[in-house]
Amino acid sequence: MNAPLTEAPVLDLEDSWEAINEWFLNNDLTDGLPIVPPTEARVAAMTAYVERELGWKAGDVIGTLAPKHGQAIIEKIAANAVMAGCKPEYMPVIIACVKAVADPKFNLDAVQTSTHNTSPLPIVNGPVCKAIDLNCGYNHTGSRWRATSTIGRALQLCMINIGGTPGSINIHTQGHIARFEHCIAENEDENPWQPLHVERGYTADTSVVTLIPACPAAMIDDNGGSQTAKDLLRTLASSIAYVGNRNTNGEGQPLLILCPQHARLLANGGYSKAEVKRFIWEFARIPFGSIPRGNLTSFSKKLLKQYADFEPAFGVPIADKPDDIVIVVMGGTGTHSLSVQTRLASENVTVPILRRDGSPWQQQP
Amino acid sequence: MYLEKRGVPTSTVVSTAFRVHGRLAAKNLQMDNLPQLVVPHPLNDLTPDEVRELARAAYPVVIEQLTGTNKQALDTLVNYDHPATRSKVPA
Repeated sequence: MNAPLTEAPVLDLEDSWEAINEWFLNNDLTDGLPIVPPTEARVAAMTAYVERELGWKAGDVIGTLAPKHGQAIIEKIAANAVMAGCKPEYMPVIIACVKAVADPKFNLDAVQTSTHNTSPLPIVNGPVCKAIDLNCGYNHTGSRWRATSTIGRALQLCMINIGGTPGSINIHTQGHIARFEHCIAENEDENPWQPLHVERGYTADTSVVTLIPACPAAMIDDNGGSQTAKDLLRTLASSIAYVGNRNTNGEGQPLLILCPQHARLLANGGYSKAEVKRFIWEFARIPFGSIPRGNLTSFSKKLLKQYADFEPAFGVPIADKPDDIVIVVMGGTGTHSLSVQTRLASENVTVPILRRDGSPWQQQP
Repeated sequence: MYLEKRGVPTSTVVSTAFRVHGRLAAKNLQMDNLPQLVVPHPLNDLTPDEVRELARAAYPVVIEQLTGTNKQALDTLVNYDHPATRSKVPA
């Protein structure tokens, strides 16, 4: 094994914005958009903040990123965060994101090198969202929100520059527009149920990041039509499952992003989040007999064996069990929710924002 | 690659789409000079007969790699035209 590189390399470039951007572009160190030059002073401001707030030092290793298995040290993460346009206050979230994608369960190697259009999607929960002004309302996956846009971009730049050289990771068949800035926060104020991190065992005042191996989202456009919870549940269920949704092929963890108005309609109708998951699991199905024979070869061996002698009318679910479905509440006013199929053989990973000593981090006002 | 690293003779086969990824994986294992046998992408649309045809074309290179007599470039493209690239319409 090579010894870990405990500091980021220092370059001596002409002191001009154009020259620096040209150099980074020509050396495949960007996403194609202009970057903020990661000068020593800017990177040092990031690492100083991290050391003060979290106790991590510049050379500390957070994880290794596939496919290159580059060592994600704080200083390199900081340099990519500067390039993305981040403020130092965003670093705790970015570090947790890097730790999550480095978890072997996330299977970053496959996410980065397969032809599937997948992009790690961080969902942020807890007080950090308001503290750094992450967007959880209108246009939450969209642009024009500094924390949301630049945290997502910083993670992508870390994956390019620490995790793998461009050329080896560019073979997603069409790609994923969200690869520029994939990051969202749950709308906890308008969530009638427990937010995702509380559901997963953390206290409400802990800041937590959950990384989803997400494919492009499909809009479920109810457009105000459903007036009862049951109507809406049936609309959701019949919008999620289709033959080309890989989550029907086996052990995936599909994501359902409910707009607040939809979540409210379901909760007022008496449904808990667990009950919504169970309804979706039971009714978002495609008849086994309607799946073209060739498509069945994409199913996991375990499922094929299980389905071998089933009746054509048997409904194939979108997950192994109801609790594998992830539900979060996000967005502004309107009656449009999102169904996100996820990569198989990659699990979502939840990481709390912790100090180096393992204690939960609370941002100082 | 892990077997090769442990001294077991292997032949590393990748399709063209994964050539760069394969080189990167070899580099990670500090085997920068590991030869790769590169076959045309994709594989999943070949019929069983076409797979046999491809295997026959690749066979000499596999033997060379297993016996360490491959003195060609790091990446050897197998002499096989993917059926999808063969012209079906007379020019």
